[in-house]
Amino acid sequence: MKKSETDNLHDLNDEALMLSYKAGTAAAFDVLYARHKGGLYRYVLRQLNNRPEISNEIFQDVWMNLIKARINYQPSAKFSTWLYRLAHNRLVDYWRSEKHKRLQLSLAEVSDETDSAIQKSDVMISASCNEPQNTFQQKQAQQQIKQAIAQLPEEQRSAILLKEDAGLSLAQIAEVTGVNRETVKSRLRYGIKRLQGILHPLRPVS
Amino acid sequence: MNDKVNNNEFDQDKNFQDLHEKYQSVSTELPPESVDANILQAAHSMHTNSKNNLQAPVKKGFMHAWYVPASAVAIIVLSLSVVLKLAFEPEFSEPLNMQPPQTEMDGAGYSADEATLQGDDSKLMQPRQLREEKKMTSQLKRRKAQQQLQQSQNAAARAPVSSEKKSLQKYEIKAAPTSNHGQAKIAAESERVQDSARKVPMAVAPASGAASSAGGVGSLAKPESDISQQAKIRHLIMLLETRQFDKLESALRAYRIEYPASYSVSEKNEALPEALLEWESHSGGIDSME
Repeated sequence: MKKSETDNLHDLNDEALMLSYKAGTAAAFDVLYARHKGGLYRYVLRQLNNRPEISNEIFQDVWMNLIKARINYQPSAKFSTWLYRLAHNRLVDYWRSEKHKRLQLSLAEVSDETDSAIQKSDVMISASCNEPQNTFQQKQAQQQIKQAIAQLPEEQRSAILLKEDAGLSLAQIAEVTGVNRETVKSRLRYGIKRLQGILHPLRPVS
Repeated sequence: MNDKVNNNEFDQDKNFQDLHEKYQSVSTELPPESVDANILQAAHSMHTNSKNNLQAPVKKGFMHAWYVPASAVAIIVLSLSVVLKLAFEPEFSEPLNMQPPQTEMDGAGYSADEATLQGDDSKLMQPRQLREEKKMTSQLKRRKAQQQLQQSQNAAARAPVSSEKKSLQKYEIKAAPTSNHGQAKIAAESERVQDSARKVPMAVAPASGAASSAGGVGSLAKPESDISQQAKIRHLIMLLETRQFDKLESALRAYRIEYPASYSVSEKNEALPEALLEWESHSGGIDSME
């Protein structure tokens, strides 16, 4: 009986699952969490320059806020949009609180930090992923991409990460970040161009 | 639709595709298991807590709130302090300035005489002046009435007057100062009655002189009846003055029964004062007099 109920939950979309959790089905939250934890975690991690300690804290806060706000949840928008808006707001709060403390890190310092973060985050890769072992060149390429994303301006980085990690559309990104769609479009264009400029030397010669 | 076009635009972009593939290949991080466990536990516990909360909502007691007793104490202290302050406050050392406010006439800076000289008639008949004028006229009326009474008293002093007549004079002195027109009439009537009463002994005197040899009984019997009649008339006048019309009506009826000759005008001695007659002729006699 229980198994069949869980199977039914897996068939439901995000909004239905959230409504079900709001109504009192705790198992619906498990399904929702399993669906969105990876994307949200990576989004938070990249936004915080791959610092896992702070990312874990922020990530946990976002989910706690979602649990608290479940009573007022209305399926007026997509669940993923709501979830990433919660995350975005939490990150903005964090940046505001840290603004006076945060020093403008130099590019070298950022790269050092991201190297260490990548090493830590690589350890956390799930064992269930049956990917082939990366070669040294591939590892280097991964690090370069993460570094390049870390170097992007905040707005462009947000737009690219919401597109890549959350898989949101332009309108949804606009809703999460609180700007219009054209702005999101231009941010994405400039971000991709900039990333290409950083990553160009690494491109394999075809 | 437009959103889809834009998304496709990005998806078809070669640069974006290249970047997308590279990013997806490296982006495989997941949250630590401890974080997962914390979140799931919180989600489940919150859910059960909220259920429990719904089952047994905790109500905060009314008196548990600190501000309720605090506000009550504050009100009591304030009211007590005000009462004590009022009780022990010294009285005013200086008397309050109770002068009436200056009138328009005072403010104008000139008197009524000055206004007369200037030919300003509008300033002459102010309400205050009108009041004074009325007062003066009423005083004059009173003086006139007093003078009349004085004259009648003098006339009465010249003639022999019994003790009952003296009391009637006293009554008339009391009635005279009234400035009311109707009351003045009554006073005049009483004077007339007094005159008629004065004439009685004058008319009787020769008879009494003639009858003195016979013991003077007849001369004494008539004045006694006269006196009682006069007293009744006085009583009637008093009732009319004090406006006890119910009593007056019954007393007048009794008087008419007792003295049927009073209907006769020729019988001066028994005639009623004009004021009473007038009141009798009109049912609401006093109103017509006023």
